[in-house]
Amino acid sequence: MTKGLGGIAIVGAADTAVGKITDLDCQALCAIAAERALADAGLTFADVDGLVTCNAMSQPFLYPAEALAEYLQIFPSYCVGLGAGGAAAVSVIQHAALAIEAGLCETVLITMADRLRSGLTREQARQMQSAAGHPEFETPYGPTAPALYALLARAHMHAYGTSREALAAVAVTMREHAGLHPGAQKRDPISIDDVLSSRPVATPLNVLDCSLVSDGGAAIVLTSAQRARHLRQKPVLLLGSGEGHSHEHLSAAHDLTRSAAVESGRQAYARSGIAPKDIDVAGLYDCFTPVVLFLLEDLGLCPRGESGAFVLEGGIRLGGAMPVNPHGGLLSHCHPGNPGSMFHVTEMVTQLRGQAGERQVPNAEVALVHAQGGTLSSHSTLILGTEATR
Amino acid sequence: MSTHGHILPRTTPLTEAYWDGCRRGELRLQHCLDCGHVQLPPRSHCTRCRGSRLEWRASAGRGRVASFTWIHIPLTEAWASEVPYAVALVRLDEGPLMMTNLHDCSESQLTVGLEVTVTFEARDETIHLPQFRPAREEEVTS
Repeated sequence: MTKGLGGIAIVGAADTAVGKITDLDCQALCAIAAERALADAGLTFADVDGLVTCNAMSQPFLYPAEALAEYLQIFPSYCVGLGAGGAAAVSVIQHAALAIEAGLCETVLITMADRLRSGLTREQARQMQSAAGHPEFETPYGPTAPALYALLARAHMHAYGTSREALAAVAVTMREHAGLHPGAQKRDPISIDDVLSSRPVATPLNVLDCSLVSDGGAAIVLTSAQRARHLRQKPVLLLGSGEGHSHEHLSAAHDLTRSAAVESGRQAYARSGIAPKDIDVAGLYDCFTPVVLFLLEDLGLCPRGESGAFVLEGGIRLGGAMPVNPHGGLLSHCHPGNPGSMFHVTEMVTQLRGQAGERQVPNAEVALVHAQGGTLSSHSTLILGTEATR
Repeated sequence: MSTHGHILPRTTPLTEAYWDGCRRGELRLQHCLDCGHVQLPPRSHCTRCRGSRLEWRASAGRGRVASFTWIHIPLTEAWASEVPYAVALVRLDEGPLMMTNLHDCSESQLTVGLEVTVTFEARDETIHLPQFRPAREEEVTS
């Protein structure tokens, strides 16, 4: 069996406010998230000797990690800026854990923020939209980011008879969960009909099938499990991780109904010794409704081709067979871009500590987080547990 | 940008022969002389056997729709007058999957599996973009 990462723990986790933030820039949001995550852990900036971040599209720096270390005036021995789109926020945890295991540093601060809602110029927003396609063989045809996911949704519907309502049910469930999170950006309940009658974006996807556009950030603190025992919070252990990369551009995908989440998940299960049936709660990347359907199947959380029925029967709701994104996900909690899945991570930490209040999954001991970037291109899976799981 | 403001392909020295073919009304694909693999986009090596003996050959220009979407919120202003416009992934008979728009095709006509034929749209003097339209009855192969 491959070695897991059980010797590393998440000891601090925190979010900033999300939604529309007009009085702070991205570096300030990173600093606030960091300060809160360190306070949560009972640590200070003086304890940090590793820093990981990703670039902010609304406040780009050539070397974002170095720029953030400078801003925070910390001088780490491990300093990394990562880019893997949406998969980055989960992938960085694997990198940070390896750095600690290798002895490069002892305590890593991962903090990221972006302001896609208020911070982008018109030109930056346009560039971001058109950057999703291959510059030579896709973009000239005018595909938008939602259109690329719409192509995947259509392929899934054709292959498995997945209904339009099943896509809508993902959005409805995320909104229901966000209603239980006081900090979520969108909390008013919506119905399947609301989704179906919302403005068409790229068929079959409507506006309510698309994630929010937000400002915000989040941070976590990692250290050895041994050290974690002496800190403030109940340690959340990294039990295993995995990555999968199958393509960057959709027209190079080998299969339009299955993603490299299969490989990513398999590695994470093998390294952790955890099986899909052992997962109590999942944080799944949900930039568009069909992504949740793909990930449920690819990660073995429901049988292949049956994710539509699974979601319609309430399988991903709190109290369902596999509760997904109790915080409301990218669809209803917030989506500030690259940092988006950080909120899935902080939510899983909150759940495993038993601190999620109204939206707590009872006795949550094992959580899975999965993020993807590109167009179901790059994948990163993390399995988290507690001392009780080990 | 073309005169209509559509984003034009960012070409490379390796893809010159592809765009040259398009100007002549030919959709060119790379064929591997060692293993017979057919590929698009063009590359320096065959993605199946890693060999470098590649030859350009004209595609028959036929394929089937693997997936499609009608875009209501356009990529840029240039596409605004065309909404809803269809973007599809087409599986060419020779094997490669390519992105395209579909022309002369109604919303009710467009389905997964629809047989389509290549056509070329001049975006400017050098870029004649390969596009697809539904195959006519006499063109349908199976």
